[in-house]
Parts: sequence; C-alpha cells; structure tokens
Amino acid sequence: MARWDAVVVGGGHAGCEAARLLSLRGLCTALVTDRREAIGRMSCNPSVGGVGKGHLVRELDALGGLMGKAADRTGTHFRLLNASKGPAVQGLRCQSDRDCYSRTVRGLVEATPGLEVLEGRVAGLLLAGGRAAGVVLEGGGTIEARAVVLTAGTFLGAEMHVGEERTPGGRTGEFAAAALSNFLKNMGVAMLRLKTGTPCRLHRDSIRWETLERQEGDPSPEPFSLQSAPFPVLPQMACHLTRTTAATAALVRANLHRSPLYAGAIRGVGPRYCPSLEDKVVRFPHHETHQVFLEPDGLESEEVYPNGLSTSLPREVQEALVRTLPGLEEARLLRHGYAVEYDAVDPRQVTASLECRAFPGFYLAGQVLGTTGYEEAAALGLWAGYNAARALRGEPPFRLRRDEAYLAVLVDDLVTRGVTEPYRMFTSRAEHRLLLDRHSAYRRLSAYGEADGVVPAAEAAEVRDREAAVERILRRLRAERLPGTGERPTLAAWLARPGADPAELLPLLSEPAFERREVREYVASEVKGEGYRERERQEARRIARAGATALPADLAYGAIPGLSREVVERLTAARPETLGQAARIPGVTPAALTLLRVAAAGRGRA
Amino acid sequence: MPDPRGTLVAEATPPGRGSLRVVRLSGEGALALLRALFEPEGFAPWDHPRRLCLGTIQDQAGTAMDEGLAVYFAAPASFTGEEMAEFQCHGSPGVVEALKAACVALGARPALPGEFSFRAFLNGKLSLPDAEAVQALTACETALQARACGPEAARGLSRRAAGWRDRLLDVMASWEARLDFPEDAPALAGAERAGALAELSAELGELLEAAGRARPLRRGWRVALCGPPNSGKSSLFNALLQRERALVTPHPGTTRDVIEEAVDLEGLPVVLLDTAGVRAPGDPVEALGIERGLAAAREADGVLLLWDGSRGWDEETQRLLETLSEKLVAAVETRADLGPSAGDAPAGVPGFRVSNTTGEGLAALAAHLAAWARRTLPAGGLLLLNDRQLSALAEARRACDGAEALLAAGESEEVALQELRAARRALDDLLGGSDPEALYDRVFRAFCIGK
Repeated sequence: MARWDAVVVGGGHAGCEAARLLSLRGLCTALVTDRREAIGRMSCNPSVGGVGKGHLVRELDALGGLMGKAADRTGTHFRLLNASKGPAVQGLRCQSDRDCYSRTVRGLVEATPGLEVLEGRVAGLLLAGGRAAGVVLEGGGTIEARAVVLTAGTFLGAEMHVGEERTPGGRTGEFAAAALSNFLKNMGVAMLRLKTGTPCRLHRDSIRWETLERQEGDPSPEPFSLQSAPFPVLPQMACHLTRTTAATAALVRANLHRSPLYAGAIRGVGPRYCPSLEDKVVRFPHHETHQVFLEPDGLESEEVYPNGLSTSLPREVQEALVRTLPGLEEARLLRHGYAVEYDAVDPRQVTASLECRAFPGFYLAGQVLGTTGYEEAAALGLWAGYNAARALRGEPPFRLRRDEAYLAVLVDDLVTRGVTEPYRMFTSRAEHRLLLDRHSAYRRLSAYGEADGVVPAAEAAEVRDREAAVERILRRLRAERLPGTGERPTLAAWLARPGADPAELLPLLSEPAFERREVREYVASEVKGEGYRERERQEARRIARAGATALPADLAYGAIPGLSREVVERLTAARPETLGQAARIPGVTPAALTLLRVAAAGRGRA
Repeated sequence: MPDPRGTLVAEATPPGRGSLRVVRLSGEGALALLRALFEPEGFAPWDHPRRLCLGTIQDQAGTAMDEGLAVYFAAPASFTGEEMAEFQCHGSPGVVEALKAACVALGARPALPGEFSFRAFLNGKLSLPDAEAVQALTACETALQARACGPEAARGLSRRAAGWRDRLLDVMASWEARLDFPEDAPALAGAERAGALAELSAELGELLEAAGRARPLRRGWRVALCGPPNSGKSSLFNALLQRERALVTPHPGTTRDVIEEAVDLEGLPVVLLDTAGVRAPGDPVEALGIERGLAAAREADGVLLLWDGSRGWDEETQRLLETLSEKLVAAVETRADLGPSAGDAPAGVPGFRVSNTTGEGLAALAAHLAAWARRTLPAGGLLLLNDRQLSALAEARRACDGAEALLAAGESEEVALQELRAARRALDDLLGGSDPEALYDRVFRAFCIGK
C-alpha cells in the first residue's frame, strides 16, 4: 500500500491549489518541489486578476481555492477594470507584494492538515499496470502514491535566452526539468514547444517618478474573496505610466539580429496577447509608441516591474533601451529580461478531469498544459485536485458546464481544441459570459465546494445568507414602486435603467444587507441583466440539447466515410465526449458533424 | 437526413423516353459496380478516369443489356467528392430499370431527391448555398427562375454573405479587444468603426428587400380573376391555361370555390385564381364561395376584373372595381365575339377586349400580364432565396439593428455583442460553416495588446 494517496509535483500556483484541495478532502498528499522557499512564487508580474482572469480567481474562491485570499492579504493596489461597463466584463486586478504573496501561499500550504512538502526533483513516473503509482526522483528515490498531479509550469526542458546567451532553467537561478521532459517523451506523450518572456527589473530609486503619470488604485477597493476581512490589509501603493519612444523602436530594430526571437534561436510559440517588445516593433510598425506600466514589486522591495517591456535582447541593449523611455533616463537594471522556451503537454491528451488518457491516475495542471498566467494555472490545479480526489474516493468526476463557470470554459477549450500558443482566459471565450459575472460566482459554485467538504461550513453559511438576502431584496424591488404620484415604476424597473445607482434606493429599503456595497452591486447586476440572461440561458439550453449526443470513447474516426484526414486527426487527438464538444474543435465542419451524428446513432443501434 | 454511407444509384436524366439516358453511381463501391456491369471494348474506364469509354452494359449475371458508354471518376475529383461512375445507355426505360435493378442487387441504394448534392456538401465540394442552388435548380419551372436561383446566383450570395461576416467579425473584434484589454484602451483608440454596423444592416436590408420583391418569381405571381357572376371568369381561366380546368356552364354561380393553376407567361410563373362571381348569394354555400373569392383577391398580387361586354359595365362591376382598385392589373371585357360593347369601362382603367371563343385579345392580355409581373421585379441581378436563407439574412439584420439599439440605449458592448454573436451565427448558418478562432485572429492581427 502506497504511503501517499497523492503526490503533487510542483509548488507553483497550480500545484498549491491541487495539493491543498486533495488534503482538504482528507487525502494524504505530498507536494514535491525543488525548493521549499519557491512555493507560490510569482515568476513574472507581481499581479493577480484582470478581465477574465479576475473572474477565474473569484470562482476559485467559491470552490475553496486559495489564490483570492492570498491576493487580498498581499495586495498593494486594487482596481476594478471595465468599471464603466456591465458586470459581466468587469474584472478585479491587484498588484501584490511579491515576497509577501509567496510567504502567504506557503503558509497556507504548510498549515493544511495532511499536506506535506518534500524537497526533490522528479525525474519520472512510477507505473504499475499502466496506472500512475508515484514518482521517481533524480538520484533514484521514489515516492509511491495512488495518483500523481504534475504541475511543472515552464520547467520541462526549459531554456532561458538573453541575447545570444542560452541557459538551461525555467526561472532565473533555477533548474530545468530535463529528465522529466525526456521521460514523458519516451512514454509517448505528445509535447509542444512554447515560449514566454519577462521584462527586466528596475531599481526603484533610479526612476524619476515625479515626471510620470500616476495611477492610483480604487479608493474603496473590492476584494477577490468576499470572505476577506479586514480588507485591504497592506498599505496601498500607486502604479506609474510611461511610453516607449521612437528611439526605443530604433534601438530594437537595430538589434533585431541579436534577438533570439528573430535570429532564429527560439522556435517555441509565444502568446500573441503578451508580445515582447521585439514583436511589438516588428508587427505593429505603425504604432509610434507603446505604453509601459511601472508596477511596484512590494512595500519593501527595491524592484520595479516595467509591464510591457518584455524582451530577450542582449543585456547591454536592454540597458540602453530602457533609458529611451521618459522617466527612465537614468534607470538602473536589477535584473535583465529573458525569454523562456519550455515543453508543454498537448492538452488534448487529457480528459476533462485533466487525467492523462494513456496513464490513468496521472493528472496534469497549469502552464505545463499550455496555458499562461497564474490564474489559469491555479484554476487548472484546483480542477485537477477536485477530480483526482473524487477518483481516489471512488466518486464521479467533477464537471461544470460552459454556461456555469469560466473554469469549465478553460478546461473544455484546452482538452477539446488544444493550443497553438499559451492559452489565456478572456471573457470573449465564454459564449455565455453574461451568466458568469463575478457577483454570481458564489451562487453558481459554492454548493459544489460545500458538497465536497472543501469550503468551510461557516463560509458556506455566509454565502447562503447573502443569497437569501439578495433574493428577498429582489422580490421587494419587483413589488414596490417609487414614491410620488403619476406613473410610478417599480424599484426594479428604475434600477434597470443604464446608469442608475443602487445606493439611491437605500432610503427606500430598510434592509441591512443592502447597506453592504457588494450586495447592492450584486442586486443591481441581477436586475439590469435580467432579460439578457434569460435569453442566454435559453441559448445555453438549446446548445446543450443539440450537443448532448454522446460519442463512444472508442469511435474509430478513420472508418467514418466522408471525414477528411485532417478532421479525423483532430477528432482522434481530442477524443470528444459529446457531439457538442466535437463541434468546438477547429476545422470540424457542420458536414463532418452530420457524419459523426450518423456514426454515433449507428453505434447506438448496434 | 439521408444516410451518408453506401453507394447511391439514380437516373440522372429526366424520367421518360429519351434518346440518351444516364445512370449515375456515387460512393465507395461505385467502381466495383462499374467493373461488374460494364465490359469495355478497348479503353477501360477504370484505367482512364474522366474519359468516356465504349462497351457493353450487362446485368449482374453477365447478360448483355445494351451497348453504351461509361465513365469513371476517382475520389475526390468528382461532383460528390466520392468515387463515381456513370453509364450512358440508349433511351429505353426497360434497359434503365434493369440497370438500376442490377446496381441495387449488387448493393447500391436508390438515391433520394437531392442526395448527390447532399453528398457533395458533406464532402466539402459544395457550400450550403451552392448545394441548395443545385436542388432549387431542379425544381425550377421557368428560365428566369433558373437564372435567379442557380449556381451563379448562389455564388453571388455566398460571396456577399462571406463579406458581411468578415465585416461583422471586424466590428466584433474591435469591441471585444476593448472589453478584454481595457488597459490597452489608448492603443486601441482609432479602431473605432463608426457606422460599420449601420452600413452592414443597410446592405442586408437592401438584399432582403430585393429578395422580397423577387419572391413571386419563386411561388408565382398570384392573379385573381374577379367579376360578377357569369362574366366569363372560368372561361378566361381555361383559355389562359389552354385546357379545360374549370367547369364552365351558362348558369351564373357555377364556381363555388377558388381554384388555382400555374401558367408560364414569357418565362414568368403566374398562378391564376378562378373565383366565384360576386352578387347577392343564392345560398349559404355560394355566400361562402363569394367570401373566399374576395379574400383570395385581397391576398393576391394582382386582380383581373372581368365584365361581360354584351351586358355592359354595371353597378356590381363598378363596386368591385372600387373594392379591388389597388390590385387591379386590367379590366377585361369578355365575349368580344358577341358584337360591340353595351357600355364602356370608366376612363383610366387599362382595358382589354377578349373572346374566349375566338381567342381574340388573349395574346395581348397575356403579354400585358407578363409585362406587369416583370415591372414588379427588382432592378439589377435577380436572386431567389429559399426560406432558410431568407430567415438567416433577416436574423442577421435584426441582430445588427438590435446591437445598435442596445448601444444607443446606453447598454455596454458585451450586451450588444450578444446580438452580434447571433448575427454571426446567422451568417455562419447561411454559409454552413463556422470557426470560433476567426475572431481571435482578427483581434491579434489588428491590435497590439500588451498588458
């Protein structure tokens, strides 16, 4: 009998959520990491959330994840993005104190009962009867476990590039998991080569702050987790704004031949939405300038993170080009920017449980599955944790619908469509985003967390009380009318008008809950979007009905006449579970779906 | 939906006696059938795809049935994209039936109407509008119809719809980019496409309007024959049809119900409606008939008002003229063979004088009807849309207008985008294909997004 129920490989954002979830479910869990102090580290920018990403963090919180609480405790600058738009696309974002964040996460992980952190480097998987049975460490030791969750981030076969320099490693000063990458390749796991990058870091005291545009956080910010109180905890800081100049672009162009991206040293595919400075200059030559946010790294830290200056040009070029930006004329570099190339696992090889189809009991989560971003990684970690725990306890898999959570969109997109570049969440990826605003996250998801026993009873009770209050207030708003004479609309009708402020209704409703801002905003969001959401729900039902037909797991796509070879390849790679999932695979045409429907029906009869 | 598997067999030439008849096979197995049923003299069709080869057509037992030609198309270079074969044989129905029976005996299945086009669609050989055009074409009864719904017109529709979808995606990409990357908003300024949506909606509207006006081309212009009892409506109806369709008697009130028949006038489909004569009814059945006739006239595209020249323009006729004046195509004086009129139609009413007995004036009336029908058609290219296409285009337009209205009412883009997604879905449906990634390609091609 194995000593451990589960072993989680990696202590990043995915690994921490997965390991903690497994432990909360009463499973004996080991988290193996190269270095204990690197747990919960923010490798790139010191910030959490954003549009789409912020939605994920709120959902994580409703399902018992830790990222929202850690961000709330360590945030130094909170902003609600898209505040002037509707609730569906408003996103919370914060700057966190980098050191404080990783300390907090490590504290939460180490304080989890039944979770043990082990230091070591994993070189391979132990297999027994085709199932994962633990891991093999570099140096020969083994850790036996009934399930393995691999959250290796960017460390598989990683190589860092600065100009012509190439160093093995997934993060400055850290190692590259070359053995593990080779092990997976030898097992026949299909890998992708991806790329990401990070900017240089500047010394706080070398920046001429007084010349720069200042950007304050929101005066009374909203936390990611509605359980966070008091909030905010840390003193708040400002960000600053500067821009690249014609001189920056000229320097980049003059040195392109020394950029590993353009000189051909890097063949990994980077994300289009987080372009390096080289990419910006080359691909958008008509843009004279690009904005750069100077983000504080922490309260005590001397480091400043210039968001928008990701580059892997040679060190001396980086130093020169930073100084072409207003306010940075005398800036000193503490660290240079670099690009990382790494191996990721083609996510079409895992099921919607994030379990590798070829090796049951082997789960993958985070950047190693082709995503980018802390929030996406954490979401996958939590999802893998839910599923691994349920499988170990003999329970049915954990699934959510695409109209129920961004988490479901993330997982479904990855396992169905695969990736060609690191995947980032956007609200536009969720076809039913009007149903997925941050206010309703607890209503949508808390019950799942409570059922699996990972959301504390007190928290779940608080959620229920808030939902009940919101229901009561909504009933009153629909029944009661504005005071006065003549045509008196219901309070709900009044509040539904664009721009109406729910706070103005305070004198009319003596509801203690309504005095809380998050409740007022929740109520307003429910009232304003009612009609659209109903339509969206109908649409979601229609799509669900149309796509409900199950596709047999062993359907031989190659034997279906009429399917093109390309379509057969894509279907075979993704192995969709339903016709609806097949419809979301790129290149699968309505004609191909017709053929699939017939094939599935034919099997049903046989 | 027909099963997309198996080998199809069907006669490709119209049924009936002709000098040459074609039997077509499609699907895996077509080649095996061709080998079994054709004995080449010289070149074998399977060695020379796409080439007509002479030989003997035989049944499954090897008994010769006919001398003929055969041609083989290897997949995917064929109309359906599948393995195909065709036999050209002599025009005897017996041979064709025997050949089809032999194919079925060897495993082929008789094709349903349009099934070859359906296979072509499934195999990516035809777009949905193209496939529909092939089907529509086979149902066309007049030359003008064929031009307006044939492959040429369908390609035009596909092209335009693809263009609209493209522009719609541009609008959506620019809105989505601003929603998902608010911190890059300054960089996105200038991406504004004011009026792009209004322009799109206007173009969709123009097409829909033209399609609406061309609609009679599909179902025929409906022309009601109205007039007092015994004014010769049924006789004129039969005369224009050139056959005895309606019962004609000297007794007023013989026609009780509305009967309709289609006639081809100079390539235009016209549906004639024979109605009951309008008078104080003699019994409840006639009353019902009169009411139905008037209702048919009100719903028709046009009305011919008939009056008996030998009786003159009476009050009943005048009353009917006033009721139906908006729809009036012509006033027709009947029984011209009975001598000069007893009284004239009022000035300003386009009049014709016909005799159903001698045929006098009939050709002129038919020409007038055709000219009237042609005048109602939209100028420029004719496009006949089926119900599916019409409703998809109407939905796309409704959704574009809906999105504009939401923005005008102060709603934010994500709500309006719900409508634009519906518009896109409608255009995708029209074209029979969609690709969710297309939007992202556009966002990242057009905008430099960094944070």
